[in-house]
Amino acid sequence: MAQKDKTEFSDIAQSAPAPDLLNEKPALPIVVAQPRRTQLRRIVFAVIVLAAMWWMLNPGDLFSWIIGGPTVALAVAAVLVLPASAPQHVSLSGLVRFAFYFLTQTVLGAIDVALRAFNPWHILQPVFVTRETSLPDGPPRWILCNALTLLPGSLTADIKGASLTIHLIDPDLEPDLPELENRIRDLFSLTTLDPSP
Amino acid sequence: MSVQDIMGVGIMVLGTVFFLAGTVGILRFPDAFSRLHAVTKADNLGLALIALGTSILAADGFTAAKLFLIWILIAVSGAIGGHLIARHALRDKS
Repeated sequence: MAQKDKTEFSDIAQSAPAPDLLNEKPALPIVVAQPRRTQLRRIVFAVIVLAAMWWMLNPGDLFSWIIGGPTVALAVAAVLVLPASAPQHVSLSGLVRFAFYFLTQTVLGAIDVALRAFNPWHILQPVFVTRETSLPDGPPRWILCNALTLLPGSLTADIKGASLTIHLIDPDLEPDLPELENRIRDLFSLTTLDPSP
Repeated sequence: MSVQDIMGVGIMVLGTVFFLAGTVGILRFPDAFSRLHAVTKADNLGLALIALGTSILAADGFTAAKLFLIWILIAVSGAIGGHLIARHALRDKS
């Protein structure tokens, strides 16, 4: 009996993925590897968010969906082709704190670069620096890259694993990477490494 | 002109100053990376101010939310686009 069960199980295990591999066109491995329910949830979520955005930009305009419908469909397809990120828990209070910090820094960054552009005697001495981030791969690291680009004086030029190549418009404008990382940890409810705020 | 109009138009004028700064930066700055600093940062704030000024003039919650959405979408695409151009320029160089 036990022997039979075992055989059945191994039969199912071997035969189940086979039709997919034989009959379907080769897809990106990440799409194949995902369970069907997660895929469905991603599709529904993407459709709702994208359709809501389109509706917000063109409220009450039914004809706009001639463009909007296919656009949403293409965007959902793009979401499915891209690998899913590991689920993240975003803390709401952390989001408010991060948004406030980010907005202030964005304004400072813009004022700084505007002053440099308008000052006729200012000569730029840009440098590249390489920094290691301690943030985990996925959304925390992407947010770090994009936040760095909008922060005063820094621009993420390249990212390879945990190593960031940052372009500084002035060598003095080294960004406070540990502080930014801690704020992103706060945003994603990750454990803060350095207890000092 | 009401106080609301003056505030809205004033903020929009300030926004155009940042757009101008971004353009001056593109023309003046020495390399692609420094120019990206000007475009991503200055234009981002310029757009934020113009959206804020327009929201004040419109005095309508839905329009304000819509302008905020537009700003978020452009801010995110600006930062990602800037990063992609920088990465390409860097890998070309090395």
